[in-house]
Amino acid sequence: MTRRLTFAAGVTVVLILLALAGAGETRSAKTARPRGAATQPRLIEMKVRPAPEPRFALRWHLLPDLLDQTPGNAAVLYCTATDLAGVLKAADMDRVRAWLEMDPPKLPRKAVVEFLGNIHGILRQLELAARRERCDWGLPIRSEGFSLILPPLSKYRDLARVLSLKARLHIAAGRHDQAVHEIQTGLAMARHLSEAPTLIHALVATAVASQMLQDVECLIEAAGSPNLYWALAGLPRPFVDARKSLAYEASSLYLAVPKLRAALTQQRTAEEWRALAEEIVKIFQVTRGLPDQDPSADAKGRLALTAMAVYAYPRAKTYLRALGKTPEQIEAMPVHQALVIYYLDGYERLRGEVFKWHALPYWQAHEGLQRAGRLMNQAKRKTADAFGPLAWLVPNLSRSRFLMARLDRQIAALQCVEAVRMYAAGHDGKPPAGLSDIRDAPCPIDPVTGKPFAYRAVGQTITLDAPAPPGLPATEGVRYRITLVKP
Amino acid sequence: MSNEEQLTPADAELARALSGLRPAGGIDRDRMLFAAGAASARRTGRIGMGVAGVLAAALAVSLAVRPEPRVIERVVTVPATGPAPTMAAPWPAETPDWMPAAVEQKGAYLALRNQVLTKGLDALPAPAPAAGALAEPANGIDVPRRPRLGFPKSLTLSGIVNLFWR
Repeated sequence: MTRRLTFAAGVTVVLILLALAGAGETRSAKTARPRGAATQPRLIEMKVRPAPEPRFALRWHLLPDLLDQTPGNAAVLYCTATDLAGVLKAADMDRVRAWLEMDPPKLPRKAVVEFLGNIHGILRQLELAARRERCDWGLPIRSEGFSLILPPLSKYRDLARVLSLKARLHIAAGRHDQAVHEIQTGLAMARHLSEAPTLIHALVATAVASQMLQDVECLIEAAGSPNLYWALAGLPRPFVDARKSLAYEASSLYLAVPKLRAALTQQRTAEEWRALAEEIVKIFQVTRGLPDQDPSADAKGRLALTAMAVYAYPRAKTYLRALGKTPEQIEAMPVHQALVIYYLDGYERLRGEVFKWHALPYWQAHEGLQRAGRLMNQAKRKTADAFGPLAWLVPNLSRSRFLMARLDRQIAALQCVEAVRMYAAGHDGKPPAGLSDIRDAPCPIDPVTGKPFAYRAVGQTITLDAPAPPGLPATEGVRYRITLVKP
Repeated sequence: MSNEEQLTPADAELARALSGLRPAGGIDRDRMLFAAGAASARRTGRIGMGVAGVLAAALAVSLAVRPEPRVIERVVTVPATGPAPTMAAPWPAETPDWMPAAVEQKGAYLALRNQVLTKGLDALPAPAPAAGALAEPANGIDVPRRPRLGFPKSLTLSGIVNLFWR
């Protein structure tokens, strides 16, 4: 018994020592959070070496080259990959996350190789999918509308982490071309996700791309890494183009109830107006997660319609007066017509207020998006208002647009880092005094603020600052602190 | 009359000498009983293991050489009560008891979207994990680095039975 106790105590001590040693192996303050971090921008520290422009400027691509693409639909292969990824348990992903916290050279290579070997089939599906010419997700959004059931999208984040791990294994081994191959796979997957017709797909795409750009950071830090300035410049902007998904989001009401589309312009009978009002009640029930009662057939549904009429009709009349209708015109209208015009007009106004900002670059849209977000929050609280019942169909885009712009900022900042490395390679390892000194590789602006990154060079250390936009916490800003070391 | 009186002087002297002898280390009764018990248990264990081994082997052989189930063909006459069912048989009008009531999915996307916009991507539901563990992928598409044999790691009786049962 004494021997067993001694053995157990010994094992415990060894485990504690290993845990402590492991803690020291995590990525060395790669993204450090200093004291008072809640009011500070995120700090990213990098040690980089000067690197000239590649002999062939287009040697490196961060998305699969056209010549590497094959015909076929990528979505089929992605679905196979996510299906196979069911074998990845929470504990496996915890291990992957822990490995991603480490500096690539400190990865336990044997364990990582064994892990990746076990999921070789999944990774192969992703590799093939990312190099398909097209991606048609085939989601029945036109028929299902806002009752669409989505595939398991959270799996794509797991897959991105696994790809990231593989890329870092290659970085650790100095196989830069293979690391770029994995990064291409992840970024292509993000682009394919962004082509789907829902906003959730676009947000997952943003998260996947952001994960892969962290691998680009690791690659830039690796000894002997190539200069990726032109590869970064070649990425599409905005990287996650949500125009398609936002078009579907903006049209969701009329996809669900096509009859409502022309309601504001066409003449209808009293019965038709009543039918349209019933549709609005049904949509309200669906959006609020209430039991779906058919107002035309069910007593509770009829009650809901009557309650809406009693509650909102006086407001509808006031609203119509404000729209320029005379009291006689209003009194001549069937009650349900007044209600439908009241709610649809309010919905159209709100929809416009939210979606119109997407036509502008983020730095111009930021304030308007913030205002629209506040307007929506008010609208959702007041059901009887013109915005009320249908306000839940309109997404609050202020946060999602910021996340997409933040991704573009990540690309732009890394492009600036590569510009500095290129400059240093031609100037005896010295950084430029200002970003405008770099002529051969112009530095992009910060797409979040629309201004150049704030740049400062002190000796061999430079800082790139990208503050949070007005109204957002300082933690949404980022500071890159980059030390140029000798090759 | 004592025995000593019948002994010769030489025998009497020997008897005295013997009675003076004492055991060198002393006998521990408890220890002796424990050792005897342990020896007995060892014997029983060996016999039990032997019997279990023989039974397992016999079971394994019997399962391995088990004959195919006999198929007995018998003609049964069933009176026709209506048209034969076809592949395109209509769905029963009433939901059978064994089928759960249809889950209302109306607004599923909208609810999820609004949750994700409020709480972030962590609000996405995690799919149910697959039955197969990572080390043994559920289907044969995943290619491991080293070929794996389907032999159970621990050679238990149930393992052997499963092996032959498949």
